[in-house]
Amino acid sequence: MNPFSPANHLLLVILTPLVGALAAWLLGSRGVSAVRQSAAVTTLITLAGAVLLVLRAIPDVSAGLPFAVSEGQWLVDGPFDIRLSLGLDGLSIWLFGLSALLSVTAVMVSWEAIKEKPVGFYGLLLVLESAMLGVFAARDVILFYVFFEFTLVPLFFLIGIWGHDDRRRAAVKFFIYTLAGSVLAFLGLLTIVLWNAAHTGTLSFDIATLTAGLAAHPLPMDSRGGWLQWWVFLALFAGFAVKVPIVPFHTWLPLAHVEAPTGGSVDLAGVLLKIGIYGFLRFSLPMLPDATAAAAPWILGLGVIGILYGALVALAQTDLKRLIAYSSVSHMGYCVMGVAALEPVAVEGATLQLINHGLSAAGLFALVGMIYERYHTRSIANLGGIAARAPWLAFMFLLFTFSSIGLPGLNGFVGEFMVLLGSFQRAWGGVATEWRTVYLTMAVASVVGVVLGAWYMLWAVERVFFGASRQPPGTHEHAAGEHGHAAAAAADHGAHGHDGHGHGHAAAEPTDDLRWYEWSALAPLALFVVWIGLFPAMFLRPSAAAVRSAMAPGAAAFAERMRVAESDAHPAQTTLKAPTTTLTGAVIIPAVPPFTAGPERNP
Amino acid sequence: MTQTSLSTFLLAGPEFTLVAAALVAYLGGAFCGLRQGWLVALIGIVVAACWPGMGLEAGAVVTSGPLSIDDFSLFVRRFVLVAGAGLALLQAGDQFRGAVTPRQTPRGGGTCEEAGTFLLLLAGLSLVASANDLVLLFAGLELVSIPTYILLSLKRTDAQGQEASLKYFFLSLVASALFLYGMACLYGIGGSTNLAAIGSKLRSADGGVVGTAQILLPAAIGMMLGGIAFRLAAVPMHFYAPDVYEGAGPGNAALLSTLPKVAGIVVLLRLLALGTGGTLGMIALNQGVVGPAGAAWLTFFWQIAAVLAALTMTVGNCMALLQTNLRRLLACSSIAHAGYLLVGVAAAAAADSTIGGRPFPGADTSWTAALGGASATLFYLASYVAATIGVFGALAYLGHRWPEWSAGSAPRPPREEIATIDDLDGLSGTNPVVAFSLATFLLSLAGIPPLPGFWGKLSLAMAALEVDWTAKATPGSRRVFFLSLAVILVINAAIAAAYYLRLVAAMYFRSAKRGVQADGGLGAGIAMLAALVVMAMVTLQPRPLFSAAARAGASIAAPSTVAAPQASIQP
Amino acid sequence: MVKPIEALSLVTAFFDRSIVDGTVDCIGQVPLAWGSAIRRMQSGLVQRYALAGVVGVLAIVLALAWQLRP
Repeated sequence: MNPFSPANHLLLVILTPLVGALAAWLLGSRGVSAVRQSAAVTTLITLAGAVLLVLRAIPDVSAGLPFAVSEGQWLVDGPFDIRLSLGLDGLSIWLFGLSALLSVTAVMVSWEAIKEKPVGFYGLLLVLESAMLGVFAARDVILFYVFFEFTLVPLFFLIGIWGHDDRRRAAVKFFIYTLAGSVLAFLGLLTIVLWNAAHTGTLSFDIATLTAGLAAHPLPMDSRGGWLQWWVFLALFAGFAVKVPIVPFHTWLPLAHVEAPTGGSVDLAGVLLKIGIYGFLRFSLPMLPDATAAAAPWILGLGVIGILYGALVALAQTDLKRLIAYSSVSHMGYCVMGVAALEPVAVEGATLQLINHGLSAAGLFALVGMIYERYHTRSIANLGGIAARAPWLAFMFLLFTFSSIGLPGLNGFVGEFMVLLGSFQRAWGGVATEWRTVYLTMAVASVVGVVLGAWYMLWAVERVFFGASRQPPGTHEHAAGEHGHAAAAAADHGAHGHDGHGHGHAAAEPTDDLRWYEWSALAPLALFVVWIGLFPAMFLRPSAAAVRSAMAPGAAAFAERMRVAESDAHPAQTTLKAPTTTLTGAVIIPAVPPFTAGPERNP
Repeated sequence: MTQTSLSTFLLAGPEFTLVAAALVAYLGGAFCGLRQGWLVALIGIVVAACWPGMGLEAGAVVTSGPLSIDDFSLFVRRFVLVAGAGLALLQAGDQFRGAVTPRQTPRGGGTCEEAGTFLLLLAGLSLVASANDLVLLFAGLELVSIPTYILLSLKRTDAQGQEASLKYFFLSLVASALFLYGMACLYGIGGSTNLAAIGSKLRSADGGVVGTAQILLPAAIGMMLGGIAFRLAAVPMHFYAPDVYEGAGPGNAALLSTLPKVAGIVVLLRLLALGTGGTLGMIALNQGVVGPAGAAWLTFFWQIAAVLAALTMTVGNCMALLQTNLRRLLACSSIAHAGYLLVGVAAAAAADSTIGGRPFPGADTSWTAALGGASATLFYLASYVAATIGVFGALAYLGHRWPEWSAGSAPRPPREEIATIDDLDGLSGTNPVVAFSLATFLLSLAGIPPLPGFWGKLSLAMAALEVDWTAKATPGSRRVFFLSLAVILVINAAIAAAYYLRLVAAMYFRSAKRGVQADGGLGAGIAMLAALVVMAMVTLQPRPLFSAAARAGASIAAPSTVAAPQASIQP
Repeated sequence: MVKPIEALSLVTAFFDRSIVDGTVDCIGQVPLAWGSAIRRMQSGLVQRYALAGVVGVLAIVLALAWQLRP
């Protein structure tokens, strides 16, 4: 058995956190320090393994081939055939890496925060990591579902034991709400399996086989077949919509995010929300293209509603963590929009935006956790002028804020822009004329959402980081001097260059600033935020092939519905060259075509 | 004739071993001052398990007289012995005579009577699985019921316990009477007490359901299923469960929620086999193998089973949401699990053994796509029994706690049993192993992957979805009926998660106010740990249990290899 | 321009808290309501239980016999 064969590599990466959980348990008697160190080591090893795996996978995956496929026998008895089949492909490769990365962040961010029962906490975080890695690596329907459901269990305990005041209600509500949706999705998946079995003669739970089988024998959309594809689509939608979350099925999210401990929030916002869209891309879009195409306008509408709704409610929040939670709802709306637009640019942008949002939301929640640790309040009214005392913390917060807003040069811009571009393309050239106004309105509304997003985030940043210091002193009494540095350069969107001379103290060094473990939590995220922003093609190319093939049937069905020729529907080029050119150029030049007359043909 | 009698006796070897062990326990306890009754019980179970001839080639059926041993009987036998061992350990650990215990706990003498009675119960259950004759079936069922009454009355001597055992006794009489009446009607239709003969008469193609059969057939099915519903704690005979479980101790509650359910499912599946005979379900009808009487039998079967399943699941889960008393809550949850089991039975009765008109390559024609209703039911039963023994084992082990008392003038009030959900508060801090085990069992009952309960629900859902797979899904058709049943099944699973989570939350999210004593016997602790090991094994490698259940379920549809004696009475 | 949007956001937040979340909680109350209704049938009297059981079985028998009527 070659331990470095791709399949075993993948299996090892998934199992390492479990081993680490066991190690944490065994080290439990040695104290908090030993436990958290072992957890940190485990997550770092897993991350290294995951990075290596991703690098190895990129060649195959870019060609559209699955990587590291392993099939272990699990439940094989007569015709019943469930296998432990794991593998990565274009849809899952970056999400896999993200899970590994965010687990490191989750561990580091909880370094000082978790003092009681550390064995349980870190153990559960590690088990959660395994489950998340497993969700994305699963190539078997039942295996996917097992991991999908199982992610609820560690998070239930994480929220319920180490959370904040209303944690019990949050944990239970999160669990039951998500479970209710996913059991319906479960029935939908079983129906797909049985349909495939009936029409191809072999009972298989393998996702690739099912996709091919359903492409050859699609589920019926008409009354003769009992509208089976619609029912299955609705069942799957119920499960995925709650997880994304799509408004109005989102109410578990603010509660769960706010009450969760910081490490839990990082994983929840960073990874678990992505599973919904991932499931949609993996199952609904390839296997149920007709229903998806028919429902696409409505889902697009729901996405836009989500963007605006989330942004509006975020604007009204007084709790910083709740604000960021609602901003998550809003940003997932972009992903929903991207997927529902069924344009290659948009769907690729949505897939990238999953990673982007994972990075920025995780970073923001981590920072909120750090603020809470210092000042023991999350209320915006009680916070202020933190930049004076913790300039690097402010810098990081601003960086992730700009990422989530979509400032060009950072990752959020690429994803959001691609989604918006795709939506406008779809609106302009890809829909039948009677739908055009609706689509255009939705696309314009989503742009309004971008503005709103900038509004509440920057308002919050201004109140919390700049201005007079409102909160009780943090760890030390000394107020700091000015905060001016690189952050000011990017602060031309509304942050005011307040300096700290309202305090009038001598320029002592900032003492509330980031500590080493907080740096190690944030730095990798920041690195990727900038990297993806400057060189997005590196990240888009590997998943492009898989995304295309996943959305191809749906897009074709949609085009057919809209009675628009395929060739007319996709005028603009769909690969985005790395914008190493000026940032303004990247903003202005591609934005012009949608607003000029008719679809254009770009080289 | 001597040969037949001897071979019959040999076939029933394990049951006789159990009865012999029971006699040893009774006589030893009465005359020789034997105190370790449960040890005798365990030894008896082990000896019975070693009985030769417990293994059989797949598909073979050995019939002799009123007994018929096939894969199904062997599965149930082995299952009963394993579950019996677990329950014996549990009962041994359930040492207290009342819910409130005075300072000096009177350690039971009388464990020998309990042990002996328990062994008789196990023997009866094995007999039920092997019975090929109506009379033996009823005798076996009574051999399950009567020891249950005795055990209920022996264990708890306080008022609540006695009330519970009396309630169970009276209602069980009603149920047995109904069942017997139904059996008489079945005799009337079948003309013989031999199950194989009745089955072949039912399936015979000649004659329709005319004359008295028009009232005998519904009466037979309706009353027998009604009687069985009592054992399963299914609607409409479920009312006793909360009261009786609350009054009985954890040991007896474990008994009530596992063994009678096994008996009920076994009888149901045997009755189902009367109609299915050679091939499974309605496909036999399509091939003209099952006559109108058999078709009516199967139709009624799945109709009742499906409706009762839907009602029972909902009633059980909704009632459980409101309970605060632990054993009442577990009683309501066991009602709900009876509902899930009935889904499997209904699917088995209605199943089509082919998909798309073609059987699966490499598959028996008696198999369905996944496990088939009967096998799914048996698998679910196994995982449910393991989890239940674990839960009650944990509760028995936790025993009592001292109530609030400040050191003052009044003497310390007696210990109180762990009764309500609040009593579990903070268990993760005080007894982490027990809390972890309880959480595992409860999550398995809730159907959370990757625990065994999830695999059970998966099989049941697939069995329900497969019914009439190729038919059009018009409203009012069987297909839609079972599709909605599958939806009700999963929604109930989500509802059930609410109260199971409440228990887990109490253990982990709250802090202990008063510690538990963990004064239950060691036996209960061992039973709990054994159940945990079983859970782990099935989680990691479900295949052995799947295969065993699949073989057992397939034989519900296997043709009898022995010619049935001629029918003597025409209805 | 700013004020109406701020007002809208307050309204939306209120809507989210009360109506959307309220609907979810209401759905959660339904099984509890059924539970109370069912629980009221648990009278504790053996006679009632036996009666309910027998009546239920009779209903089953009648429902089946009805299907067989000529």
